[in-house]
Amino acid sequence: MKLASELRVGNVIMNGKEPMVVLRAEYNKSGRNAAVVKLKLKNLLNNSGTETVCKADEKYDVLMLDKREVTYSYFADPLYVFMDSEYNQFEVEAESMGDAVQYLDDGMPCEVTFYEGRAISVEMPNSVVREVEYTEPAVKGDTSGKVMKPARIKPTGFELPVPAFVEIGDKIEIDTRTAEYRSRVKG
Amino acid sequence: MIVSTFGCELPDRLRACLALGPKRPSWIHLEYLSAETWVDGCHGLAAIKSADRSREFFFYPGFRAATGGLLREQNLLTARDAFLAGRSASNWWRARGLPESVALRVSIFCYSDAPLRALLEAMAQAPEPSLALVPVGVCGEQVAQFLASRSPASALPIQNPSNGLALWRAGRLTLARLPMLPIDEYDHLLWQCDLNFVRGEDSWVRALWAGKPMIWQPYRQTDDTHQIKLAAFLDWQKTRLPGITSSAWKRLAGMSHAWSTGTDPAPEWQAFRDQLPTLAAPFERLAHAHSAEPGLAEKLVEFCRSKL
Repeated sequence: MKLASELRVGNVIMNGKEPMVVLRAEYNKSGRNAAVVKLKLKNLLNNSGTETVCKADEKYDVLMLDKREVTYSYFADPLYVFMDSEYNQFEVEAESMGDAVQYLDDGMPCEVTFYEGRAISVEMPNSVVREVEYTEPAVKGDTSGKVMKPARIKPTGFELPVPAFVEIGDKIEIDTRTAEYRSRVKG
Repeated sequence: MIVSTFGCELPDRLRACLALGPKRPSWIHLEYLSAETWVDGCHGLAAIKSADRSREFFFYPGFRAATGGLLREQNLLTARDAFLAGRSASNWWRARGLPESVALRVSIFCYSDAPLRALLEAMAQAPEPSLALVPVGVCGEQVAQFLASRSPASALPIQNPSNGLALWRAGRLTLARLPMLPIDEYDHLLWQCDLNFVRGEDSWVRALWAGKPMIWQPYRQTDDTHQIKLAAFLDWQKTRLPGITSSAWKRLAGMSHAWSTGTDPAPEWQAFRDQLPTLAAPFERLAHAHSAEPGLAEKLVEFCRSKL
């Protein structure tokens, strides 16, 4: 069992007899330290989508599904194609990719989850290193890291806040679970 | 149709009994009030909770059309205006032994971590006189410390009428300790003050309908979540206070932040007080404009009808 607050993209929970895969989980604090989770779900039997809200301490049975280590190959609209070590290819629908699309890069290692032989979600490493494609010029002297500015990363063009001292061409480590800048990587 | 508030849950055994009934129960979670925009996307959504076959929905009070609205009695503002226009207001004030000829009337209902003592000091030292109305039981320690810090000659009880009111004078401040009031009498107090400090949910909404400048203190939560909620409310206010000047807004926001973070409000107080005359009309217009929108009770009934 998992608490609603622990559900992640790719988890499959049961709604009655229907398996629902989590496409997005949004955690929000309501009042007096209570919290709710808004879930975007897809029914794996009929592909219908729905959005629900639940209390963050609600418990759900999460199906244990097959997972496989893969690397990202290419995008064949509307499917993302991954390959395992035996050169088997697996296609994942764009809708099931979640936030992974923000960080994809050729050959990137991921973990694909399967339900009844179908790839339903992709799990990223907890952090990735990406090069900054564009950001405003660094301000000299501001090394505190507290002033942030937007930066676009290669190759996806995803934008996130970075400290003011980050420059174009810098390699930065990003926490894929929160989409937050972690550190600048040397070399 | 079951409506639960403040996250309350029935015991599992009772829920199981309800599930065995002839009709599948519909369960409405009446959630906490917030001005945050995520509330709009959660309002009215169903929950997955198949254990007892009930259909559950989350109903979010809120400030925007996409939410469940705010609690408001029918014709509240009409009743308010009638109360203020006639002799009822002055009779109410006088009957409670409250001083009448004071430049600024300020009601203060806050949590214990509000910087009340510092505010009272600032009011006591201000050039213009003011009256602070603080309910008994609110920040007792801070009030006691404030009075104790004043020399006996300057902090004297000036009346102790039998209606439970206690009055003190300290510098330019008259401090009134009121007994707790029923909700309709609390409205009468809010309507007659020039500035209202409120907290939580109920007094927050009552102050909105009072149409007077207000400072809201959210309930303190972990990870400074309450600051996020205050920021969201200030953002909403800024878009809904017609004609407010940037300097008045800056003072309102500054005072709000100081009050909710427990920071000494003294540096903010005089500049904020100077802006109160310019804030009065925008707050009144906000109350009127928002009262034209469907209230929470109306929206809740409509929502329940749609789910039956």
